Amino acid sequence: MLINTINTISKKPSQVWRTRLLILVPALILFTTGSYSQTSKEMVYRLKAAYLFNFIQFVEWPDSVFENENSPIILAVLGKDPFGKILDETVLNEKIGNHPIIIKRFRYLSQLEFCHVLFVSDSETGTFQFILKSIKESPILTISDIDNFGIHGGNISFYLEENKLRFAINIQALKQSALKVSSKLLRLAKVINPL
Amino acid sequence: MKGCPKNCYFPGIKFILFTFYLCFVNQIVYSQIENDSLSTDILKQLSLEELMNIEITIVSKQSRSWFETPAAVYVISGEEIKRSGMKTVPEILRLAPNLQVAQVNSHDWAITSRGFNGAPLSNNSLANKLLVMIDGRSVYTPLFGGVFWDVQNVLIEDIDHIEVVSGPGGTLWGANAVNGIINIVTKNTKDSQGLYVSGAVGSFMKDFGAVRYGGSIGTDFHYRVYSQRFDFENTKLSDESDFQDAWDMTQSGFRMDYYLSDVNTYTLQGDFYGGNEGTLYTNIIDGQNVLGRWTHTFSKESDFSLQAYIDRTWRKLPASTFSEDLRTYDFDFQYHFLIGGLHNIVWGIGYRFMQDIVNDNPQIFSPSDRDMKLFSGFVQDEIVLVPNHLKLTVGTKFERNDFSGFELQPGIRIAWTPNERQTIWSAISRAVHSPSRFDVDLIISGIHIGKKDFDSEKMISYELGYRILPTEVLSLSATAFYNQYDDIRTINLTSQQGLVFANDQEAKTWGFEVSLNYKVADWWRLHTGYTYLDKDFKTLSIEVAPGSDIFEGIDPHNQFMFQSIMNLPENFQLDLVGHYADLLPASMITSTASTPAYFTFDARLGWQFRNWELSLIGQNLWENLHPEFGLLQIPRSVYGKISFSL
Repeated sequence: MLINTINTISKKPSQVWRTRLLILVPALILFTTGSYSQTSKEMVYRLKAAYLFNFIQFVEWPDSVFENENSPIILAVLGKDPFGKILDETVLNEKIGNHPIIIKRFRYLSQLEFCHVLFVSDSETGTFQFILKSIKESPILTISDIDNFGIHGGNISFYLEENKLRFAINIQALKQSALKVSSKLLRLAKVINPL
Repeated sequence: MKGCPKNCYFPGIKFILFTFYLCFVNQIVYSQIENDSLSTDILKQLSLEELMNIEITIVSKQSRSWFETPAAVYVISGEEIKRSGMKTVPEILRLAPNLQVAQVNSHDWAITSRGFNGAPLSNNSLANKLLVMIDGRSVYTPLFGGVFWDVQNVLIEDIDHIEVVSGPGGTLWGANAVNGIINIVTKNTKDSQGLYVSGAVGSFMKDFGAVRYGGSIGTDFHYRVYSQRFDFENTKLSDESDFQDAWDMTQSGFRMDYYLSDVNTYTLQGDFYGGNEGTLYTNIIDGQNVLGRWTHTFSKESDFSLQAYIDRTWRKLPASTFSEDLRTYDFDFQYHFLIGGLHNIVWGIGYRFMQDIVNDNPQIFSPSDRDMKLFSGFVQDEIVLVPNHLKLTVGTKFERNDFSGFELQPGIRIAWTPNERQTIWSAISRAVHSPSRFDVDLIISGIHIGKKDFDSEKMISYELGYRILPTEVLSLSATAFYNQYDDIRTINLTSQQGLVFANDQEAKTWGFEVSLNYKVADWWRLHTGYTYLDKDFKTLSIEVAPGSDIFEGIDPHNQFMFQSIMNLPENFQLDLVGHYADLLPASMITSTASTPAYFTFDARLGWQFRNWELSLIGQNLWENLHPEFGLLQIPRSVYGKISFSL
């Protein structure tokens, strides 16, 4: 008997239309409000690469880290490389003073070699504190987009504010690594203190 | 769709084409406003000030993978759980609009997805088509294929998120994933460091207390230990007298994560619990479990994980002299690798040994004790057909169980992501509910009702899904489904034996699920969802007892929920959760009356002050009493809670 009842209900045509309307109305509302564009991950990393290129220009390393005036500035990416070709394209044929910029990639901390700038990929979110500890006080500019990278002693950390990419500088950490940054960079950055 | 009966609710093909047309038109609009066009050459000429003014918007990794998944996945976040004021795991599942959750009595729940919430027997729903896991440990019981929700507790504060898949989900999931999968994931110990103490008193939940401490040794080893206890009041009968079903539960546990390197990680966790609950008599329950997992990464292109657990759960109903002791030993291996960036292959094998010891007088299960073995395996290949846009997933599960033997469960899924804001997916899959002890071993009044060669219940599922992010603040997900079931359980009246179980009905179910997340403002978020379900049963034998269809599925046609999360000034929080469920039909076989449609809502006011959080929660505020599944009335209630974390 109950089966019959269910069948009778499901055959009412007015309900079929009610159901269709229930899907259609929200769909229409949604499709007409689509005026927003989502930024691709690639675009975000193009932007981050441009930032990295800028940072290098505003940082001064101790002379001891360069063999001579023409030796390169080594920018290392640690962890899963989120940039792909973007970073290479950004620094292609660029020089800071007489120093060309070369990119090196290291998957694991144990493989890490000498470098001037170290970008820590967000694949290292679990281990970045350990990475920072192990290179502490070396003249390496550390940069990352990992949350809390700055307050745990990273030099420069990216963060989002009102849909814009900003950066924070940990001054104390910079001092420990014997790097000098220009006052312009400091003026634009959010200054944070370590824990 | 061909199998859909004439004039059914399923939207017509023209209608679906129209919806596709709509998204095509809009895709053109989107591509015109793409702001991804700034090249590296342009960007590097810009000054820092200029770079800082470029607008970007990012969808997090987690929501990204959710967005492109070719299955009806809904994720309940830890924050949504915390802000709901809900106190137990089954209650929290109300936050997933693609589940049907009804409280049966103080300690039992009827929970399913896409229907088949079976009739209440000794207060537990016979829902038997759901796979439920807590941190990778399967918790459905082979006794009847359902879940004893009273013993599935976790410290609410330490839940990271809950994934809910409606439908057969995929080939990766284990046995019993027919109508849905619930995967409860607790936080990594790294994310639950420090001291947390919480206490509450109230009218329905009389008292609650919890303490957790998370610490670390060195930088790579983290752990936590916790303990909690709660006491719940009775539900009411329709004359407002108490139904003697008050219960309490005490549970403690631990988890350790050892992050040795990028290559190896280890997890060890366990829980033990005990409690008392009323039905008409007092039940005693206790249990213990321990789980270990080793994950090894060869490279970013291949890894494996090895998991083993032991679970013991015991319940005793002294007055009816029934007790069950179930011991489960489970071992799983999973290997994952990429081939050339185009194939993402996962395969795995598993073995489960279950020892079920029943002491019953009069006898309800024959034989009383049963050892059960389950071998399973799966293989799945996710193939990139068009990079970033079109993905095909093919795979199959293999399973061998003691009752119905070898079972094959293949599936094919396709996901089309025309742009980063839309995904359209579709799937056809076969899933199987393997028989439980209830189906095979049941005896009532000396008559063997269980069917010795009870067959597995089979389903072919057709799904079509659509997700869209029309704006940064809005996301919508919609899924339509059509399921065909064969060999569904029936109760047959035979001349020789009287009542017996058989596999003599077919069923079709169809419906859709819609969910919407809307960030109204930085301080206000809304989640809402609506589910429609209809079904049609067909009996294959004149021996089938009338009401065998309702016995298998007491389900609402329409269901609606919403959650509102508001952050107010001065660190105040105001949150609401509401839910509506349609009428449930009466079950002749179990003499259960129909349950009227109901709406109810919960409200939470919270205030944070430094390390302290105070909250006042009112639950089921709409009515003084309302039943959700059968007879028993869930009361309006209130509780106050204080938490401290350091």
